[in-house]
Amino acid sequence: MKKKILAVLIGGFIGGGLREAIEMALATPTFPWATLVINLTGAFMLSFLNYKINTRWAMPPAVATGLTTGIVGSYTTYSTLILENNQLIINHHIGLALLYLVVSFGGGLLATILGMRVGGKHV
Amino acid sequence: MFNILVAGCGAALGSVIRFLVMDYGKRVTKQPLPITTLLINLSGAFLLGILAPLPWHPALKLFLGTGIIGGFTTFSTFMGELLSLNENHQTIAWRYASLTILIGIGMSFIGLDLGKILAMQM
Repeated sequence: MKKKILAVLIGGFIGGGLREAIEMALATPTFPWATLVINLTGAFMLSFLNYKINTRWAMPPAVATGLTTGIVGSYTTYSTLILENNQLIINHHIGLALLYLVVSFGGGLLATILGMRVGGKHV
Repeated sequence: MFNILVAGCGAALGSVIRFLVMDYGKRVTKQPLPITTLLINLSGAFLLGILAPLPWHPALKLFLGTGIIGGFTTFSTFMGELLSLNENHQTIAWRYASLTILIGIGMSFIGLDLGKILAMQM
């Protein structure tokens, strides 16, 4: 348990730092491209990693937790996505807000399925 | 570079809190609906809403918001849970998706209003 907590601490630092780096690099005035890219790539990575870890890649449980719950879990974010959606609504960009939700959640599902397939699952 | 370090330190804390809450949730919840992730994401959306309008130092808001709350809530786990629920419990999967999205938006709006009221007192 202590090893897992340490792994999540380190992974969380890397994932959160990476998220902020992408937020700064892709900052745009209206549409939240950065968070969209982060969440879609993260959804892909989590299902890819989970599938590989469950089927092929042998690694200590703490390392697996650090990669999945730590790095990828911290890299993706739900709270920022919802805040950005509401800020779009507040600024009267209702169409963009709807588009953001559909592309985030619909695209997130596709990215998750794609992650498993690329990982080797036949679905 | 400073921003990345500040966000990273906050996210490290937020991730550990999420991990501990999830670990506790696994032991006490028995229903297929991932209530632990739901509560994490809804409370995070609410707290980030409160924080957003506050007139605090940008570095502090980055540490608390992008860092702790951003690292605490998670999109990728939600997606993974949704797809695995969809295999055997489709009704619950739909319920999970709509609760997460709709209640989350509502919680964030309530948080934003509370934050604006708090900001006026400061």
